[in-house]
Amino acid sequence: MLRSMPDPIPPAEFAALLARAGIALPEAEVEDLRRAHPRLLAMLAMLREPPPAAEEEPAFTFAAGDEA
Amino acid sequence: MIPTIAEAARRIAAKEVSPVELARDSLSRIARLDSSLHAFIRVTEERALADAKAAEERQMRGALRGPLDGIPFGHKDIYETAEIPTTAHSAQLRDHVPRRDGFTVRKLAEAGVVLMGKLATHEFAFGGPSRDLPWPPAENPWGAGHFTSGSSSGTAAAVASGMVLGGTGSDTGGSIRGPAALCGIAGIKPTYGLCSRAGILPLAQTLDHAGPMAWTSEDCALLLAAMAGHDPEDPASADRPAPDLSLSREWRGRRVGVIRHFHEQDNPVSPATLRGIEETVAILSGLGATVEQVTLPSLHEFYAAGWVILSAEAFAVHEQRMRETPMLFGENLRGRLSLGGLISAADYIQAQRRRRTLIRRTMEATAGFDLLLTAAAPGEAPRIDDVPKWASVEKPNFTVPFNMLGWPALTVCTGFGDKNLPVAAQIIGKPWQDWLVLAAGHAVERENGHRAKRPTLGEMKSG
Repeated sequence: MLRSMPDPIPPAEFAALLARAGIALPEAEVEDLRRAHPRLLAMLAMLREPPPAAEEEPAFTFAAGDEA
Repeated sequence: MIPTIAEAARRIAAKEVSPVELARDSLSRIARLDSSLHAFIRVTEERALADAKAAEERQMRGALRGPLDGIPFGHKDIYETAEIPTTAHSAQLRDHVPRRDGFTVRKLAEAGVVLMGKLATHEFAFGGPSRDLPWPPAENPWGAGHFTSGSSSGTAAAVASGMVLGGTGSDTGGSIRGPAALCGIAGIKPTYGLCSRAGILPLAQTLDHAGPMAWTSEDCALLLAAMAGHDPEDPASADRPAPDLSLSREWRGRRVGVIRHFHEQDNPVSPATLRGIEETVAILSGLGATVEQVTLPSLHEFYAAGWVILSAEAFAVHEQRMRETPMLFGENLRGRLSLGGLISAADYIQAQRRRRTLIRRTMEATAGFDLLLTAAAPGEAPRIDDVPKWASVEKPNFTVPFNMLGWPALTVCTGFGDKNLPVAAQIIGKPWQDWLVLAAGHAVERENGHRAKRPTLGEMKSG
């Protein structure tokens, strides 16, 4: 289940997040997005709970040593 | 009387109907209905008549290419078509004219389909429903002003209303199965890798699937046979031997798992949707299948990982447009892409790690099962103007788990609800068992009788 929804982050912090992503939106849309953003935060929290087990890691293999 | 593709093919082969007559019927229906339904971005009348004439010539000399030769057809307007604008229903691509056909467009043309036009979509298969785009949103033929779901909205509306007999859709989180459900038609998201995405505008590369939509599962099977095939231009395209295309299967000994918690607890469906699922259980059971309950990870877990992957990949696809020309997107898509832009690399990787866990847990839980069954949508179509802007992050849908898994999943109509609008079930199979899924859909449709009822379109004629 999507557990408790976090509060929207403060407008200045949210503006910084958008700027970092290179996104410029009309003011009304920024505020609308800021209010929707906690739903994304809730989903992101679910991804880390519980932390993935070691056996779930994809196998990364690097074969360059064969050539060295 | 609007024929299915299978019926039209039999009549064309028997020279009882000409492809030109079928195309003219289709054009006449488009002229009568599309000013209300808005299923078409562009009607390609000249091309349709030329395709139909060519099919008629093949018919006359006994050289038909197969069951799709002469069938009125439409492409979702993210499928690239040579010399015909492909807009993604967006001002961003208003003047985009591809130089060549996409792989599946070419395969369907080779099979002889008659191209009636390009069909509405949610903007770039992700925004919508939107009223601030160059074209209005498609409307549901079962009820004026009602939502088709998306993103393959125009295809679903055009098929349900009989303006075309089949069409293409794409499905990244449910964009074939959702509109098929709300518009009362069939639509299959095939196994990941069965149909090439080359020449289809991408939404999210690890989740995008191309597939057909039609009135029946049998028609979807005919279309999928033409669309499937290896294409080196799509890195996910599989090079596998041709599958068993038969829709006549023995159901005794088959095991069907009902994912009851998806549609009863995780996102409870309407009573009519639940009735349709139970009726489908009874049909499959009556045919000899063993039906049991199966428990998968929660829909919420699937949805969180799926939404993050989809949105992050979609932002990467559109990053340059979001930075340079954001106001050429509609407000809905601009907002959804913006959320995607706030997902970090670590978030995305955590979502892919979770996807791996979900796939493993699902494979373990479904070992020994041939098919799975759950809802395709929560209930009947709402009115377009009642769809919340952030609906896609409010509740999990029933379709995204199978994009995450890459398994084939089909929507079949299972009846009608209190508003007399369609409801549906979703039948899912193991990888490469697409035709078993379609065979189950075909059997269910034959038994439940709901393919006999078409929308009454009289009230929509006035435009």
